[in-house]
Amino acid sequence: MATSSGNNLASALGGSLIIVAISVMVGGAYSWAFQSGDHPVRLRIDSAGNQGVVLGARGGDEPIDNAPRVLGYEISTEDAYALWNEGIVFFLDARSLEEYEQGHIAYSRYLDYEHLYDVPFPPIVNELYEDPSQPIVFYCSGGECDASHNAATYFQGLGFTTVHVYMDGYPGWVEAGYETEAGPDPLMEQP
Amino acid sequence: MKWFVLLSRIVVGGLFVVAGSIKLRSPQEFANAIKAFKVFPAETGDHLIMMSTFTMPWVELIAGVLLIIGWRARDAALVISGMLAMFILAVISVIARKLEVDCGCFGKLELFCDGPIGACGIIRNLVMLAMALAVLVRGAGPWSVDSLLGRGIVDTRPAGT
Repeated sequence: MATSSGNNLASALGGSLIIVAISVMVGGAYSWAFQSGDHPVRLRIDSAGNQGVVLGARGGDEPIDNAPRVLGYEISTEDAYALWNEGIVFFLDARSLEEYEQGHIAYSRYLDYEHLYDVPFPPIVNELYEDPSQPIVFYCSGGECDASHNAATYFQGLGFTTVHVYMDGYPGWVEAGYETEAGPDPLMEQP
Repeated sequence: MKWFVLLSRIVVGGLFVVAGSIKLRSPQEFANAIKAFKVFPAETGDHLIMMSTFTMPWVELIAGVLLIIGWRARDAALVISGMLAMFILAVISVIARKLEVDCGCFGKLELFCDGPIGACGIIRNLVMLAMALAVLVRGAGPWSVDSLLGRGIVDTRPAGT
């Protein structure tokens, strides 16, 4: 009986090693396929700290502070407007496509949050990946909406070093009376 | 007992297939989850994270499928038991170090346990481990390829009975 059990266990152990070996080979091939091709997408596991945008140092039209200062991860409507006004910061809308097309912060882009975690990544991720130091502001509907936080964290994981979350989101922007626009993302690939 | 083995195969195998598929679909999210556990040494950690990100989902997927169809079910059960034991140790380590991280086990899905990882994760894995061990000890059971090949149930009775 003991010998039989030992044989069974040894047999299972041998079989399990074969399963693991096959999985490792398939995983290796998958990794190679994942990171090659026309649009290589590489995993980023070196999560750099957020560098932050130095607000007021680039000479925007309407600086809100006299002295330059580094913005934190979460920013207010006032700071978001200052960044938007400088014109060098990407604003990404993490709400649904329908909400984006009904109205969004002027010149902001549609993130396609629903497919953000897909492989291959949405085109805008590859587009922004050209310069991971590009400052980006994420926003959604403010309040309890967590899409902008999730997207910002995800982008940090990809290696983007300057990301911010606009806390009050689109409702805060509208309430402040800043510029909005409606319609589709002009640079988004049409199906 | 044989129906419990069948149930175990379907439940544990199914959960592993779901977990593997989600991780394959969102490798970056899985890599972030592994990194958050901080279980790999700093010098070689990134390579191990990358390797785990691409191989672990395939181990889960292949072992899960084998368990469901009951082909080499005991081998698959041993692989899954080993992984579950490893996951349990990792969760205990996270709790002991007071890290507040999400499991990443099923991507955005929070099956049975939600929020940061905790005791619930250990219990969930222990239940799955018990079910996987049942398959390892008893064999594939009914409705399996192994039973068609004549090795469905392992005879664990003492010799001569």
